[in-house]
Amino acid sequence: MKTRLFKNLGRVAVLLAAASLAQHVVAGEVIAHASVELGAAEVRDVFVGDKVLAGGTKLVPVDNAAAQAEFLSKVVQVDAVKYTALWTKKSFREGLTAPASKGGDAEVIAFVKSTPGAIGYVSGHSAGVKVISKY
Amino acid sequence: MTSTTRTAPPLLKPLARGLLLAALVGASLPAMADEQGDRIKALEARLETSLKLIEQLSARLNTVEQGKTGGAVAGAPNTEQAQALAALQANVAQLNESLSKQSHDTGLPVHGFADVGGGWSSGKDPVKLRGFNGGTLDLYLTPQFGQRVKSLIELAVEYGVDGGVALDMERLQLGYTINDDLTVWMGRFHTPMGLWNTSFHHGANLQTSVFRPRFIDFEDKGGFVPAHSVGVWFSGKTGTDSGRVTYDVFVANGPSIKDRTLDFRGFTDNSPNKMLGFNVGFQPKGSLAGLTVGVHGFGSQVDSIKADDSVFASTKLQMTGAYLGYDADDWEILGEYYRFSNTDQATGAKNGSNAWFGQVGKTFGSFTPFVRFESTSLSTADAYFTSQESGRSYKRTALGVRYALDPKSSLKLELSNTRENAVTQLDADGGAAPFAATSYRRAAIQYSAAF
Repeated sequence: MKTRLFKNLGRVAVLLAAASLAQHVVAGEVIAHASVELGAAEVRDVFVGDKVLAGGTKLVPVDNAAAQAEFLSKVVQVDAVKYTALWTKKSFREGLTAPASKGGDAEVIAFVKSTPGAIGYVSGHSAGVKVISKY
Repeated sequence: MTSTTRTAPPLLKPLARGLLLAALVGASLPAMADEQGDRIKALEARLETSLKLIEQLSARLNTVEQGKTGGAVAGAPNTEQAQALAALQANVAQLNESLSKQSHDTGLPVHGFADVGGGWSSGKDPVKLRGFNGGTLDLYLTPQFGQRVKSLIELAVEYGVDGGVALDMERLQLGYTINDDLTVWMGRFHTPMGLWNTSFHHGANLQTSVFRPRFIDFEDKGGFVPAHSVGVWFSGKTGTDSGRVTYDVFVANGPSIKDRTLDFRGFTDNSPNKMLGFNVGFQPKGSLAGLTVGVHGFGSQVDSIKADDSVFASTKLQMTGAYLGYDADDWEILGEYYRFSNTDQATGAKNGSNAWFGQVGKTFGSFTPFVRFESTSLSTADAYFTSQESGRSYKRTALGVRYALDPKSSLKLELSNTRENAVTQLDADGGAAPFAATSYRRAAIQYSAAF
């Protein structure tokens, strides 16, 4: 009887640990062109237009349509509707251009690799490109 | 032997894929930005189909070559063929590189707002709403000219109360980004007073109400403060531990009053007294995120001018005030206060006046009902106000609802009641122009969109 109880408790503990780990699973990476010097804490500012330069280089943020929802939720902390509204206001008042949108990870990686100042995000691991942070 | 014959397909496959990709991406280069998404999807589908075909052909080629050589040794690769392959691979790589670089150059995106509407108002309303109206088409561009140079160009096409169509160069400003904390603009811009003027302006779909508060309306539509300026504008923001400080300082042509309308002098200014202004705000972090509080002010000498360009009154305009905004948790609160301490340049007499509005809205799903109060108390001895047709004390209560059809379009309804005080104003030549007290009601609908 006791053994069975301990077994069940053990199972529960394993499940809880797995659930806890699952909450901390990294969904994606913020990547940038080799020329970009940027801290992880500044990523949100870049994607809401509050940071436009890094070390004298103009930043070129780019959205990833396939991974946008998760990125906006975890990093920018707004939903897609508010993100669009934010950029409409930003563009109208400050003359900034909203990030271009790419179709998926491969497009974002190709763009970031070849565009000085570019910063984007991908849903998985991206080899051969500078990683600014993980989310 | 067998292994030798198998080397041909692996060499041909990437080459064929590369050539196909090059051909496809080459064909897509001139595509316009808006069409790129659809084209890329179509190209991907074609690429997928073609790759399958290539694999089938490669397999067949493999079989044919095996039969042809009869298992003979293929020997060393042909040098000429290898060089050609290398050249082609280099070309493919260059095309890919070129495509990547061009993909962010989407031309010059045109943004804008459009609104149409209709309404009804009682007899004394200067807007005279009686049916449908074409509203405003506002187009703006934000071309960037390099690492730090940017611009904002805005054109507005709108119907006047008389039914005529007017084309206005709303904004033409060139900016230089010194750093993340400071941008210098030069040209024609929206005067950075309060929050409303720079946040919404002609962007009807951005604002919850149909109409702007009257006293900050456009100069030719009843506003008696300069909504536009032409000059130099320093604008920026900087972060602190507790929030963000925003700041604006500008020097612009000094406005004048002609034909009873404020003229912000878009082309030239023969007065040595330029307009100076500032706006400093604070946006706290944490539990108060979404709140903006600030102070603002501007001053200039403003001449009231007759049709023959002679001056019949001159006023030293001095405005200081404060504002508040809150945009979070589905609440939208806006309030602006303007305190005028104007001086008659001929007599030295000081005249105090004030104007304010407060608007509160709360979003429930797609609906945002709102209510707004406006009030002005203007000195009847102040030529800055009495020279302007709309320079009268008034009170207005407006309420309405905005229904968001989607993130980029909305339907609005607004009802308002306005009371204006009796006052003796000045006509276009400085003569007395008595105005009797009046009141009017207005009901308006608006269908607006952003693009």
